[in-house]
Amino acid sequence: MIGAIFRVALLRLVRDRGALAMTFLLPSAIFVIFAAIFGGSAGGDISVRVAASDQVSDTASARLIEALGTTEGVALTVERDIDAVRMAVANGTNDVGLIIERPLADGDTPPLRLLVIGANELPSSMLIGHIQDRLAADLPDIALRRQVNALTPIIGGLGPAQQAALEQAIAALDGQSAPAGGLLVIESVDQIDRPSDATTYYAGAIAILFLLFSSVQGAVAVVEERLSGVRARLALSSGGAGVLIGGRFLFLTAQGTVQALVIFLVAWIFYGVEWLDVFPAWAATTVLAAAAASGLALALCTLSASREQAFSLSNFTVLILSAIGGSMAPRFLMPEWLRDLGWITPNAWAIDAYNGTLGQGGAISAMADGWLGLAVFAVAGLCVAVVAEGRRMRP
Amino acid sequence: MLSARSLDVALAGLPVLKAVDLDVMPGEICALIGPNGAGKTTLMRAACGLVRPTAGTISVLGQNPARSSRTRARIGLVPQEIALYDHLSVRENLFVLGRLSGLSRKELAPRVAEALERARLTDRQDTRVARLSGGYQRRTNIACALLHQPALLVLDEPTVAVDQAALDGVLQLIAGLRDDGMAILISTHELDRAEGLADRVAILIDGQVRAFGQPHALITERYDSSREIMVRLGKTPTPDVLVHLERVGLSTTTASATIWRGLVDSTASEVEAGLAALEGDDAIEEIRVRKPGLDTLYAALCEPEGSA
Repeated sequence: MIGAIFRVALLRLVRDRGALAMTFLLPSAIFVIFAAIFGGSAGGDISVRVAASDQVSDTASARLIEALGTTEGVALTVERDIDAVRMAVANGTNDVGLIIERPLADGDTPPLRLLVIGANELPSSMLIGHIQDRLAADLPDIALRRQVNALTPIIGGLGPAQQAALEQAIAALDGQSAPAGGLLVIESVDQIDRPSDATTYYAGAIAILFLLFSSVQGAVAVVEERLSGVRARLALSSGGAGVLIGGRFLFLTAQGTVQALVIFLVAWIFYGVEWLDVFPAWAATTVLAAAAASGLALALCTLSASREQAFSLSNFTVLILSAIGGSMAPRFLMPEWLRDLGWITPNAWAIDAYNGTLGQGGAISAMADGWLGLAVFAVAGLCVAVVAEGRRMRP
Repeated sequence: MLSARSLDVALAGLPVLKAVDLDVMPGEICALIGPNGAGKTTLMRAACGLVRPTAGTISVLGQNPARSSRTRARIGLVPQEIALYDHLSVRENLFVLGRLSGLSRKELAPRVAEALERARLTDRQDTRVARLSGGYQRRTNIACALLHQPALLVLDEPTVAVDQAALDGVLQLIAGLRDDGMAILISTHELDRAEGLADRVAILIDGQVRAFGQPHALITERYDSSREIMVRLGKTPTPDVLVHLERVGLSTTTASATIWRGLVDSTASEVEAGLAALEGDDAIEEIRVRKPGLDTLYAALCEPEGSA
């Protein structure tokens, strides 16, 4: 008897392609994506994209730029001025900006300045490590000179009498910052009074993930209407597929907007994510993200023949899009090819738009690309859904 | 009202309807009966303009419903499934589906009240469909198709999975609509009910209309002097009883040979004599004689050709 039940379950799985894909294909696909993100595999490297500007232009600074340019794990772009570096970081073209402000041998003030997006802490840490490594390996004379220059004001030379003073100075440095702490300062390119950290990133990333899931749940009603005979009844009315899908699209967009509102309220209350002072921009981003999720969900469900197929196809698609698009792991951790691939997902555009909204003060230029991407998903999804449902209703 | 002439319909390249001729007039119920897969639902979908003919014509109010949305709007469809939003109440379903039928809010209020009254749903109007019994769900299913006052009502097996008491309510509702002048095309497996309710029946087998007309006329035409006889034996028959059974024209298909049946000519002298002889035998437990009905005709038409 147990064998009979086992056989029933096995046949159900084998004959349900959606369940088969969810059981065996999806985990493998998610593994490959995460391996690519965290392991730098599948032909990609986890490299940090650096925009640099040399404001000193001496031999030492030129050697540092040259050394970083040949460092594995650093994709270096040299800009002429600081504003160009700041823009390259602000618009996401590069992860970190590096400005050589003073001669590297200066021991009293940090000669380097790093520009980073608030939520992008990891790439700056990676660059600091690379700079320390280059100084030790390729520029040891500069490193030594920095040390001597740092000691000279304290001991005035290295005579016998100063040796004791040197020991005293070393003792005074005990427990203070590492050498790189005096090498550079880190500056956020976000507005000074705006909290901007990983929470900002994840508020947008999680919002679009759950907008997609809830939209799928709602869009399955289209399949249920078809199976229950409601659609056959409505096929005789004058409205047609446009009314059926349009009404559902508006509802799902409204539902998604409220859902995102709740997510961001929680982010505001518990993590201080500020969005109320950029409410119009946030509202526009949220409505467009909800519309994109609704359009995509309706397209997937209208293309499905059964309720089971709709759930399987939609869950599979949402999980893959979310993994690639940055809802599960930050996009700046991904290899370059995966970041580029991410632009085929609404998640990436939503995260980009939310970062523009929350991280850059709601400037239209910072959100325009994200809004456009989301609008394309919304309109394309809606059109596919109307055409697919219209074809099913047409005699 | 509805007219099909030499109608052919193929689905996915397979012929489903073949040279179908059918008419349904205003104030008339036409019952479509046939085995599963005979093409009943396809014929109903063609009548609603949801399937295009591959040959021949089908028209409603003189127009091809597949090409005229105005004509489709004059048709009410009651699908076989309970095509309602089960999380909404009866009244809410009527309003939503009425709005989707193109009725304005102003038009809807009296139409909803009328539909509730006609389907005798007034006392259940605020109950969610999911909590209604099967009979009430069926009546709500029909009521939703009446809101736009269709000229042709198409009902796909509206009595399936309905108990006897609820069945009477559903059939009374349909008969009332016919009496108000509506043309009704209904598919059903309830042959005895169809015989009593329908003005005309069409027996559809393998995509072809094998018989079409008034039930009584169809039966009389084929079985004017015939009778169906069933004899039940209480104990092992004597050889004399077996001779009489065969003389009457009865045969048995049961292994124990206790039940004998046959469709016989009641005017034949052998039948009369045989029955008289059997009536007095103590091996006979029961003898039933009845006029053939629609089920007899249906069973005969469903038999593969040459097997009768």
